[in-house]
Amino acid sequence: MPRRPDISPQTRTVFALLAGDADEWWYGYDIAQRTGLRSGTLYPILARLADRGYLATQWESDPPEGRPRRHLYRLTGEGVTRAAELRHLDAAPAGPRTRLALGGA
Amino acid sequence: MRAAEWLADRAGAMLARAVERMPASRQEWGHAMVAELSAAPSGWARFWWAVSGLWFAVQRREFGQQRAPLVNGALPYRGLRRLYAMLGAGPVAFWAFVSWLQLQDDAPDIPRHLALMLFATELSLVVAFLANWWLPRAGLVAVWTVIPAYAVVSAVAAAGNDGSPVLAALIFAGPPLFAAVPLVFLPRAVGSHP
Repeated sequence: MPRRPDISPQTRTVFALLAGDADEWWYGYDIAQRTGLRSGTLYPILARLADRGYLATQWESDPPEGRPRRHLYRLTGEGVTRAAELRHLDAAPAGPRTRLALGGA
Repeated sequence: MRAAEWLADRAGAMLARAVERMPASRQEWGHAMVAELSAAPSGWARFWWAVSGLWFAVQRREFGQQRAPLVNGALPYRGLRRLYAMLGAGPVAFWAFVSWLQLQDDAPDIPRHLALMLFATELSLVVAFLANWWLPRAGLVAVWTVIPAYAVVSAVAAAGNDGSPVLAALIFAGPPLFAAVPLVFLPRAVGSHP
């Protein structure tokens, strides 16, 4: 049985984006643009995901002249699995508590 | 140079400085944010990137380990924190007294509800600054929340009195802002254990 999702909607958004192209190396500003997250929200999430082994990081090896090296991110195998798990949970029907809160039957 | 670009440059410089004070284990992330600054379009986008990143960087500083020579003698920073807190609270306390006099006046210069709002924000700001003596984190949040409110109320009061809103915001909120900025860069742990 999948674990209870204990992560924030912002983290889910980042997971969903990165899982959309798990082979791609992403960079911070691009992720921020696509998720609508500010740097102060995004980077703690990225750091946490990396700490938990969901995210691989590396510095750009050959940046164009005049631009600093970028820090790049990609989901690890474990991250891809976790993202799929979250997607599966998101797709599942809402539980009784959610239905109660929304006033449904 | 446009104001947004100027502000973005200043915020970017502050971010770079704050990153240097992050714990070694987290500096990688700080440097990553700084590297992305150039990706953000110049102007407000870059400014907000830097300011938001600054928040992340400041939350993860470990001054005691990063800047040993000065910080290990905790007293200078504790003294500085209190000095800046007093510098911030002082002028605001004076204006709070003026606002209080306005409230007592039968024919005040500004409408009573505005005088009341001014007095409330000024009082909050004094409390917020003084909170830095004992509760640095709570005090800082309060300072950064109340200063913009103080600027807005001052501007509204000035506009209602046919004055210059910009000038009023600068005159009233400027001094506490200058005292609040250095407080952000002082270690919190020292101040929280006087």
